[in-house]
Amino acid sequence: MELRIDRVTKKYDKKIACDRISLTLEKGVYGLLGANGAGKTTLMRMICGILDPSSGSLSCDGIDVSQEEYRELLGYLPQDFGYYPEFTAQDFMMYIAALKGIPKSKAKVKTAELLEMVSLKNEAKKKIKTFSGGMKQRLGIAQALLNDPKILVLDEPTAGLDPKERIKFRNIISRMGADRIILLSTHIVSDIEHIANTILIMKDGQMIHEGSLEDIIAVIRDKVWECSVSCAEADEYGEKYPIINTRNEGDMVFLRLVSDEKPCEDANNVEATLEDLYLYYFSGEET
Amino acid sequence: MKRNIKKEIRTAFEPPEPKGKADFLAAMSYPKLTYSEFLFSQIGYIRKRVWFVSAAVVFAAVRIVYAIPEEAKFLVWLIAAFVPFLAMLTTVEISRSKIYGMSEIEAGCRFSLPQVTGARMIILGICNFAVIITVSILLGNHVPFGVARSALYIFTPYIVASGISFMIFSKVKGQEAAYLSAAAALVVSFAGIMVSSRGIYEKPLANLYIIAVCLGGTLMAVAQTKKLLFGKDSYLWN
Repeated sequence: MELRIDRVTKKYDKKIACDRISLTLEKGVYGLLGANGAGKTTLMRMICGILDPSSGSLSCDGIDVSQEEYRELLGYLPQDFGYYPEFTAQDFMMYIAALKGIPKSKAKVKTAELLEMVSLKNEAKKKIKTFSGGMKQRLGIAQALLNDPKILVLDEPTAGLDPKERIKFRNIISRMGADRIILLSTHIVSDIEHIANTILIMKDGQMIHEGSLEDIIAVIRDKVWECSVSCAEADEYGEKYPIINTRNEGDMVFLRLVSDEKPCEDANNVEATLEDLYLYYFSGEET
Repeated sequence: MKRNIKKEIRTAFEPPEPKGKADFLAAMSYPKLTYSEFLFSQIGYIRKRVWFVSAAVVFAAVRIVYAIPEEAKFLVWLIAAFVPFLAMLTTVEISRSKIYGMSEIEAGCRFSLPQVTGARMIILGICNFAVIITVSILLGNHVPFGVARSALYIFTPYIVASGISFMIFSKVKGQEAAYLSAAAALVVSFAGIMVSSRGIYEKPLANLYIIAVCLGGTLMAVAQTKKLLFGKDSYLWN
């Protein structure tokens, strides 16, 4: 199975949300990183066939994303989604199952199975309007899995989940990634670090990096430093280097920063993480 | 002896854990819903209030025609003033994906948003058409201007209110669209009452004007319906 994104561009008036993106996705988990407005959601919507590209094409094994045959393979969790006020969790799942063309008898079995998986079995008959944000998100994840999708697109799936739920979700996704294409975007860098086989980084509508965690981090390998400096020096360093982290320690200020050279005598070179890279690229941007 | 052999084997040996059962089940294909089956499944998701109002219109017509047939003419104006609200309820029902933020999830399903919207249009269109035709035949037999003109007087405010309401839903997001749509229905209803109270229907050129308004409303409703069914870029970028 191969999802091909070929020179896809999306323009909104004068703004280019996605700029000539080309990708080939095969089985595995892909993590999409980028600041707000980088074009992640637009790209995901085009992959789901709910937004037409201004130019370029998207297809899976030759099936265009606008076709019903493609949508049969698809599971999608949007960033923001609503629900009909009279729906219980079970009604919601049964309704989406009907839209996915799943017969009622199979939908019932699958609904029970998925609600149990997302720990909503006891809330199946409760109205969604009584649910917390995390419960709604778990329900959203469950609906995306109803048709056992071969292509799973999740736009910020872990938003609103508590740490325990997030880890459970991460394990589910890791397991599922073995035999399907999973594309997920999140601002929680550690989620991507843990489960994505391939990391995609978008900035200003362009795909600036694509590769494994090791490949991606190579950009700042041996360039991450930690040091403790005075307040005055901290201000000076802040203007000179991209600061990843800062913490007051009595009279001194602890800094984690990115620099090609050793910034000061006491600085220690430390192992780079994906979060360092993310902050290096997107510090100063709204995230 | 033979009869018990299965039972004996079961007690003598521990059955092995099934290997690849989940994969086997996942690989099995199952009959998928056809569009007509999907269409029927959607009837259950139409809110009761739409059926209730539709039934109330027919019931009112039946009741009054048989109780006071001489007032049938008055009832034509009354129902003409009421159908914009039926149109409003119908358009709200058709556009509810947008009102409640379900559009994006529905758009990514096998029967996508246009098909869901289309299914609601077919179901409610048939229902409303049946209501208008039934009421027009019922009343038309008791009024001097007949069935066709009764249908025209009832259908015109319905289609004008539908056109305006669809236009509102294409431009305004969320619950506000529903409130604006209700306000539009009220205006159309009030305009209908004003027109009928001035006896305009009895004037010689009135029918031509009403036909023109009806055609205008139909064109607007068709254009907006097309937009609703085939307009993809309604998702604003961030």
